[in-house]
Amino acid sequence: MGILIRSQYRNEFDGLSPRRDFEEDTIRLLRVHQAERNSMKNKKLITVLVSVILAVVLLAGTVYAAVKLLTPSQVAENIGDPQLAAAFESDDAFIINDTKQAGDYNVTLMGIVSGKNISGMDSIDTDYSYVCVAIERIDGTPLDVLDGIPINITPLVSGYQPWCVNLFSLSNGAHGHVNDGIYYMLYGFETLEMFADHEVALYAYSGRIAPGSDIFSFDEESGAIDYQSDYTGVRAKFDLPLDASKADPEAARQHLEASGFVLDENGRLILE
Amino acid sequence: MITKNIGFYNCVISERGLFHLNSYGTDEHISRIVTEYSKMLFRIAFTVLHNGADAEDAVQDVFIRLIDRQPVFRDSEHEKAWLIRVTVNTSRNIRKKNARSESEREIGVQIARSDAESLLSAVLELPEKYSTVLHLYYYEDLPIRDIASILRLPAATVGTRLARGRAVLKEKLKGDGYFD
Repeated sequence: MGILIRSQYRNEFDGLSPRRDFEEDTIRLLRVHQAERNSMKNKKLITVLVSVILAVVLLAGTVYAAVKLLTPSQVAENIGDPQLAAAFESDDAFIINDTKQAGDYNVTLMGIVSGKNISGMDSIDTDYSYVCVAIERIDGTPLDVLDGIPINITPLVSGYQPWCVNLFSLSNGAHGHVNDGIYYMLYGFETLEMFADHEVALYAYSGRIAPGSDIFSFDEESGAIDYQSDYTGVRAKFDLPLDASKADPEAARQHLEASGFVLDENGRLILE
Repeated sequence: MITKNIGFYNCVISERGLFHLNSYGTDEHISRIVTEYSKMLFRIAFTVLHNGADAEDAVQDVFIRLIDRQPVFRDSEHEKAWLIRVTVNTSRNIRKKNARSESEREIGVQIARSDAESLLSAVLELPEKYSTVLHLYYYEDLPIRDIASILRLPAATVGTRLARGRAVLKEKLKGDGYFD
């Protein structure tokens, strides 16, 4: 069979182009769309604020009683992701509900689910892990949305420096909302399963947002991670249950190299 | 709202504790994606829809979806592959939903027939499953394995569609100098 000449094909299709003003019109359309999105976010914030104020009024003068936590599926539903809600109901999800004290807060690792196409908000051909966490004040005082995230949470992987492989290098974004005075967070990560041959854990910490060496220690020999002995902020560590059979060292290496890290032949990060 | 620069990303932390690590929706981001991808995505959409106005609608839908979904891409190739796949799927959905009247459809056919001997018209007359694969291969210069990944097809199926599409084109364009 003869070969179709690529240059001929290109010449003919080069003539296909949108209207002259199309790019300009599209840029204008997208800017308006983005402005509307920002406006909607502000309206939602006001709605949440009203809900919180109502909740505070209703609770005033009464003893704040511990409220049963939502399920991870309900949290996903509340942020408008029914696909992820269904994933948290599936057999692939680990529902954990492990609560630990972190300073003045109780932090509950509610569950984790990993896989492709399990959230309506993400690229469909990539594996992601979603972790659901609840944060509440131990004394029962409701959290306020305007307080922001009261403590920071990051996954850390043994064998990799916490200041390199953490929330920021693995994150695919996070969504939070307050329900009955409890802060619920849904964290999306590049799949954590590729690191399943390492110890992968979720750490709570406070102070600055970046998990630096003032908060965490890293043993260069063993790769073990711990809190610094002189760190005085909140501490809580949750081991993440990952399917060891899904460990993928090559994918992990590629992910880290794509993130700009240099690795030695043993897969350790080389830092300048 | 606090914005911090972390590497390539903006970390945007809202009062609600909602945060994202990206630069989606900024003027720079919008200008970049439109300038970089509009023409490519338009040609792909046109290959499916055979209609300029519909193809423009499809491309704008894809950009809006990108801003709304805010996927995280490993690199520019990953971004390009995502945009191509979503464009093909969006265009297919528009074609199904539109339920065009025969008269409107006829306009598109007339455009193609006005240059009945051209390679362009011959490609557009192919079943869409062949024309999309041919376009991605010959215009976008994508290897078969990448087309398979984008269209979520086995590589062998892409190879078969490419060969069949080429065979039909060769028969239609016999002696017109499009084949070596």
